[in-house]
Order: sequence, then C-alpha cells, then structure tokens
Amino acid sequence: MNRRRFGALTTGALLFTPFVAKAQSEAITVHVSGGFYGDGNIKAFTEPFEKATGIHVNAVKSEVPAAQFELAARSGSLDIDSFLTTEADGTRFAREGYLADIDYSGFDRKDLAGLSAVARKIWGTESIEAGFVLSINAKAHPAGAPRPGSWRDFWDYEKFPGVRTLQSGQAGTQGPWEEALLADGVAMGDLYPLDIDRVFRSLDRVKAQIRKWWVQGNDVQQLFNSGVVDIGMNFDGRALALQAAGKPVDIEYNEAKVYGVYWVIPKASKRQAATQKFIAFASRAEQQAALANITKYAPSNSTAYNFIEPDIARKLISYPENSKNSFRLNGAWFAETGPDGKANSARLVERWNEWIVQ
Amino acid sequence: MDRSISDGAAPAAVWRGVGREHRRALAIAVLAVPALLFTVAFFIYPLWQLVTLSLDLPHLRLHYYLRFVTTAAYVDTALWTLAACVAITVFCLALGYPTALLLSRAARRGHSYLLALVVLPYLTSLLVRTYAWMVLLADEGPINRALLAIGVVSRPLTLLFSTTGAFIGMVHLMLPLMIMPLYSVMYAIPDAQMLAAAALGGGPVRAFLKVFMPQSVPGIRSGCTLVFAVSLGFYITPAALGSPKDTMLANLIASLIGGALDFKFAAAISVVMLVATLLFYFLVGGGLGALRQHHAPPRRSRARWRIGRAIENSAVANRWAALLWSLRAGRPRLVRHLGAYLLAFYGGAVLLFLIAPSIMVVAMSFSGEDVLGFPPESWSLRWYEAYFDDPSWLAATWVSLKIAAMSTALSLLLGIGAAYALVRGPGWLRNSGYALLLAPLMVPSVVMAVGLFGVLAEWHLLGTSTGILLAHTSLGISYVVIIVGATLTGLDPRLELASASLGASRLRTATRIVLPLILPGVMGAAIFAFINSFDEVVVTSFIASLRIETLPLKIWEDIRYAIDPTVAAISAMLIAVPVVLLPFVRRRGGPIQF
Repeated sequence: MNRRRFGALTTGALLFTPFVAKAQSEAITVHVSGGFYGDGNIKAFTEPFEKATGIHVNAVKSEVPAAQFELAARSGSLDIDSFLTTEADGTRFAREGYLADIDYSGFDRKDLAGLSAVARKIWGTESIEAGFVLSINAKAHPAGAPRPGSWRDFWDYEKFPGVRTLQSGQAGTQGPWEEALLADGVAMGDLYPLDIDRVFRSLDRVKAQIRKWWVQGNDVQQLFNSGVVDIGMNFDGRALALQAAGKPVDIEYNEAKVYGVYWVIPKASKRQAATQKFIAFASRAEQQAALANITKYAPSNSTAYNFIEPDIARKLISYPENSKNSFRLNGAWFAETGPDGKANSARLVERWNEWIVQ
Repeated sequence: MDRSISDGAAPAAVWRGVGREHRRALAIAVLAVPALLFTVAFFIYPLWQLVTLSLDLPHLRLHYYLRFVTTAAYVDTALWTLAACVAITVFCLALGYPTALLLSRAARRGHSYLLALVVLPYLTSLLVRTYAWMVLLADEGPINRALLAIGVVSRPLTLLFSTTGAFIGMVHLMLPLMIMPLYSVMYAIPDAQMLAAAALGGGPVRAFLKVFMPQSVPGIRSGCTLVFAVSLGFYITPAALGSPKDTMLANLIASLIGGALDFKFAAAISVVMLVATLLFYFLVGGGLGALRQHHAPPRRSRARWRIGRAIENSAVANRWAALLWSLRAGRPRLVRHLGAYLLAFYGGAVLLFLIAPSIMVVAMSFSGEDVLGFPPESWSLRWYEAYFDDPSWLAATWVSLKIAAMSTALSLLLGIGAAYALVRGPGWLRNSGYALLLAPLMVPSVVMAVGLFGVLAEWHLLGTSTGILLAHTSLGISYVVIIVGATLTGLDPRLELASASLGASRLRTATRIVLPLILPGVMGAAIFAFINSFDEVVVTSFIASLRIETLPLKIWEDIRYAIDPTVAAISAMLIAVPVVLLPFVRRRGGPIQF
C-alpha cells in the first residue's frame, strides 16, 4: 500500500467516523424477555436482523411489566422501541393511546398470508403462540392407568387423587378462570364473557386441593421438577423443557388454552421506522421457524411450519394434532371496561384477592 | 435537656445558665436538619402524593377507605398481617437476645469475627435466601430427608407452602436485624459492671436482670422496631414459602398495583397500614415513645452512678476480689459455668440456623448441574465462569456497587448528625425527629415505589442513578439513625463533658472522642445502609424505569425465568466480601473498651 492510498483511506475512515457513530446512536432498544425465551429471541430475531439490515439492536433481556410501562408512558420517561406483551395488556395500552400502529405495508405478502387476523392487530403483531395445558406427573399417573384428561377430571380429586397446582389469579389477565368454567360444565365455545361468580363458585370446590397457586413459569417448572405436584396447569413450553430434561412430565392437549405474545411499539419511540422493520423481519417464516426450533414455542406465522424440524413441529401447541381440542384466550374481553370504567381483569384481581385469603 | 447529664458529676461551670444550655441544644438540633429535610423531600412528599391520590383530592372522597373497611377479606388480611409481624418480632427477640449476648461477650474476648455469622446471611441476597429456604423446606429437601432418615417422621412434613415455612423463612430473614442493634448496645456495656454487681452480692440472675438487662433496653427497642416494621413490608417471602392464606397486606398492594393498576386503592391501603402501625406503636407503649424515654431512665442512671462510685472506691474493689474468689472456690466447675454453657449451646444453635442457608448457597454455587439443587450431584466452576463471561452481569454489578456506595456515604453523612441530635439534643426534637426519620422503615417498599415514581418523574430523575440512590438513601438514613442512635444512647455523655472541660473544641470532641467510641455502631450502620441499597429490588424496579439494570433487578429477572446456579455464584462472592472486611472492622473497633 502506497502512502497516498493509505492517506486516502485514513481520511475516508475519519470522514466516515461520525456517520458510524450516528448509526450506532440510532440503535433500537428492544425488550426481548428473559431466560431461554429471551435467548431464543436474540438468536432468531435480533442478531439476524442486525446482520441483514445493519441496524444495531440493543436487546434487553427482561420483560416490561404492565404497571411499569403504564407509569413510564404516562410520565413520558420511556425510551423503549419495542417489547412483548399479551393481548389483554396490548389492547388496554392501545386504548390509552400509548402504542403506535403497526405498518403492515412493510411486510412480505407471503408472511402476511401466514398471519391470522388475530395475529395482525393494529397495535401489535403476534410473535408466538403459547399455551396453558394440563400437565401430568407420569410417575404418579402412569400412562396405562386411567389419568385425568380434562379440567373436569382435574377438579375430581376423588377419582384422581394427587397433589395439585393451578396458576394464581393475582395478575387478572391470566388465571385459572376458563379452566374453572370448563370443570363446571361450560362448553369451550361459550366461555366468554366469563361468568365471574360461577368461576369462583367452581374454584371453591378445588381450593382445598391446591398445594400452590404458582405465579411465574419458573415456579411451576420447579414444582414439577422437584416432584412436589402430581397434576397441574402448566405452560406448554415449561412442560416441554421438563421433558427435554428427562423429567416424567406428560402433556394433555385437551382443553388447552392458547394465547398470543405480541410485539408492540410505544408511541414515544423515536425510531419508529427501524422498529417497524424489525417487527416485519421477526414475522418472517424463516425467523419464526428458527425461534420455534430453539424454544419450542409455536410460530404466529403458519407458513413457518415449512421450515420447522418435524420432530419439533409435532410438539408445538398449534400443531393440528395438538390444537384440535384447544381454545383461544380472549384477551380483548379482559381489557373490556364496564360502566364503572373498571377493566374485567381488574375486577378479577379484586375478587381473587378477597377470595384467596378466605 | 438530657437528664442524665445532671446526674453526673459534671463541671457545674459548663452548664451554668439556661440561655447557654438552650443555645447548645439548638446548635445540636441543627445537626438533624439536613436529614429531616431529605426525609421530607424523598419520603413525606411522595407519601403525601399517595394520600391525595387515595382521597381523590381535591374531591375528598372516602370511597376507597370504605371499600377497605367493609370488605371482610381485607380486614382479615390486615389483622393477620399485624399478628404475623408481632409473632416474628417475638421469635426474633427470643432467638436473637441470647445470641447477641453470646456474640458481644465473645467479641470482648477478641472473637468479634463471630459476628460474621450474623452479617453473612444478611449479605446474602434476600431473593437467594428465600430460594435457599424453598430448597431446604421442600418435600424432598434436606430437612425432610434428614427427618425421614432418623425415623422421626414416616412421610415428609409439609413445610414448603405452609404457614410454618413462611415463618421459618421470615424469622431467618429478620434475625440479623434484631441481633445487630442488640449486639452493638451490649458490646458497650462494660463487663466490670457485672463483676461489680456480683461483688455487691447480686447473683448472676439478679445481676443480669437489674444491671445488664435495663442497659440493653435501647437495643431491644431498636431491634423490635426494625423487625416489626420491615416485616410489615414482606411480600416476596410469604408469597414464595407460605400458603395462600399467608397473604400479607403488602402482597395485596403489590397485586393491586401490578395486576389491577389500581393505584388509588393501593394508596388507600398503604395509608391505612401506616395509621395502623402508628396506633400499634402507641398501644404497646413502646416504639417511638419508649425510644425517647430510655435516653434518660432514672433507674439506669442511678445504677450507673452507683457502680461508677463503687469502681472509684478501691476498698470496695478489693472486697470484690475477695468475694469473687470465695464464689469461685465454693462451687463445682460445671454449675459455675452452667449458664455459660447453656448460652453457648442456644446461641450456637441460632447461629447455625442463621448460617445454614448461606453455606448451602456457597455449596450450590460450585454445582456442575444446570439447575439449583442441594447437594449438587457434580462440582464445577462453570457458574463463576458464566458470571465473569457475561458483560451484562458485570455491568449490573458495577451499577449496584456505585449506587450502594454513594447511598451509604450520603446516609452516614446525614444520619450520624441526626442520630447525635436526637440523642443529645433537645427533648422536643426527639419525639418528632425519631418518628419522622424512622418512618421510612414502616412503609412497605411497594408503597414507596409508587409514591417515589410520581415524585421522581416530576423532578426528571426517573431512570437515573441519582434518582435510585436518593430513593435508597431515605431508608439508609433510618438504618443509620436507629443503629448509631442506640450506640450513642449507651455512650456516657460525661465523656464528652470531660473532653470539653479539658479544653477540646466541639469538633475535636466529635472526631476524637465520640466518633471512635461509636465506631462499631457506625460500621454496623454502614453495612446495613450498603446492603439496603445493594439488595433493594422493589422500589428500584419501578424507578429504574426500564433504563438502568442493577444487580438485584437482574437476579430477579433471572429467577423469574430459570434459576440457574449463576445466582448462587454471585451470592457466594458477596458472602466473601465481609469475610475480607470484618477483620479490618474489628481491628478498628478493637480499642473500644471501657
């Protein structure tokens, strides 16, 4: 390399430095949730996105709790470009005017075709489908013997004895509500609007049998991991993780409750264009398949099944064989407000708090 | 005006003239001003915002309060919470008093490193300790396995997710808060007094009840205040270890904020809690009122004065020696030392209970497994590597260290002056001053979190390290005031008068006499203030506003998804810190003997 060329290069480098710095300052901040799901989001979405677009992603491995988001959005102190939330919370945030609209014009047409109507909300785009399933300790209930196959069976502790666990209802937006109604004889198609009084009458009958009302996914994983409980409500992903670790945990897909996890963009985000690009990228079939292969969570984009390993596909909650007797959690109902301005989820939290200490 | 001063043989000249006394009292009172202002800004003001929220001001609606008192479940929860906190306090006192006695005696014989057995568990992250108990109390955990092995039980006891489990965990978490203030007060009580009491004919029981116990009352008061108040704010531990019936008011508030976003009702419950706590203090006639009283209890001063005179009298001293000799010679060795043996056994058992989860955490940190379990089936250093290889763990640690160090410095700066002003200053300051400066301890952290959020947002401090450190400091000041205050109370004011009469300036007396004498208390306070900040997760999670990640926030986030032994590795390293620091504290604290 001669001197002149070297000089030109260094000058060029110096000239470009400010631009590079500027590009870095325009990095988007995305909360990708934690644990193995957070790692999966980084490997399947943020890292390939950086490679493909050159837009740097500051991937934060934590969730954004609803209360904190609401406080931060209200006070204007937010600098997050995107995060994951549930349909119930997303619907409420959108109603409060905290979320930007998703620009679906930037999506590939094939990907759009793969996304169902419920996955393509104005305020957010579904990233995965997760499910609440009946989980069974195969040591306590061996496969050959009669074992609980529905929530009605779960409630029948004389027929199926054993230590039980259900999700706590303290969050309101999720809880053993639908399961209680199914156990009480309500058909899957008639669950919503939830009859709250009937929910708690049904829960009264199972209360004494519940050793632990779990709060975090990790709680229920530990309960099954240590063999404390025999049957219980569990996330499909956690049950699959237990299976992968060699634990004798079986999954009953009958009456599984499926819900969506959505990418949203706060209105306060100053990097809307780049963030819209990121969500379009994360909805691509290949990327969605990559996430499913890593985390065993079902893709929101159904065309992703073309790229998912067959062994893994069979385990996903939206696989046809698994989903034929499942129902979708109606997040919008939880966000609905009554004449008093109170959301249904808040009504459930109140009832839960009064009920649980009795 | 401190009455005990007039009891002493103070040089009358210094104290002549009411005007002068008054001026001096005022000058001392000024020392409390910065801490009081700080507490008003970062504690009272946020709470006031909550009050206005709960009353729907300016409309003044009692709606939320009516809902609380007319709902049986909420009233039951409130009563259960109060009962549980009283029970925890009583358990901690019963376990902690003899242990503090044992430790303070050991420290006087040069074994102050034993205090590490109390400090170490306290330094282990609250989240990790709670998790350690989940492992210990599980149906297939070490306790149940041991009980099954020796045949005490035929099937595992239901310890985890039961009220028993919740109490074991909460008492374990609170015990250091009881022992530390008791220790620092007991350490200051001279051994010679017990010898003197014995020499004057009092048996060991009588000497203990008449001479030692009354002097340890400041420690009992501050220990109980601390334990009761902090217990009120419990919500992670009862939720993790207890049954659903063990729901505390703080759980209710957390759920109302996190689940229902019902800030106004949560604010109303917080205010109810605050009022109930204040009523409770006055009902038991202890708490803050008693903190003031015993600063000059006539009985104690007289006892001290009598003993002081006795020591001066060498003829009497000679008689002690003769008496002691006859006592020693007269009784068999075992009986003579029975009390000491019992104390060592009891205190030793309590210390084992305190340290066991920490030992377990250290063991689990060397696990070769993917999940936390005890005992680990294989061993490795991979979780330490996981920590050091992950820049996000290191960054979070650095953020927490910086914030905790600055918060500790600020707490000491403001708190020591305030403690001095409250103990030695004018009486009118004491009541209201203590009430205000200790109040942050009584408010559950969730409540503070919501109140502070609004205020820090207003001042544009949300999501900044400055905001977090200021938020931690109001509680840090409470710890400093309560611990240094107790130590100062046990410090004879005549020492300062002697220094003044010998011509030392006020500054010189403060730096050369008072500070070295209260150094063990200051060190204890510094440790508490540091950990208070370093371990804080609830308030921080709100005001970090998703911008700053502290170590506990990261641990909390990790525990929610998957508890891997990285958390145990971090805790094990935290445990190593006091092991290194404590000998230094001891050497500095060494010369403090009467």
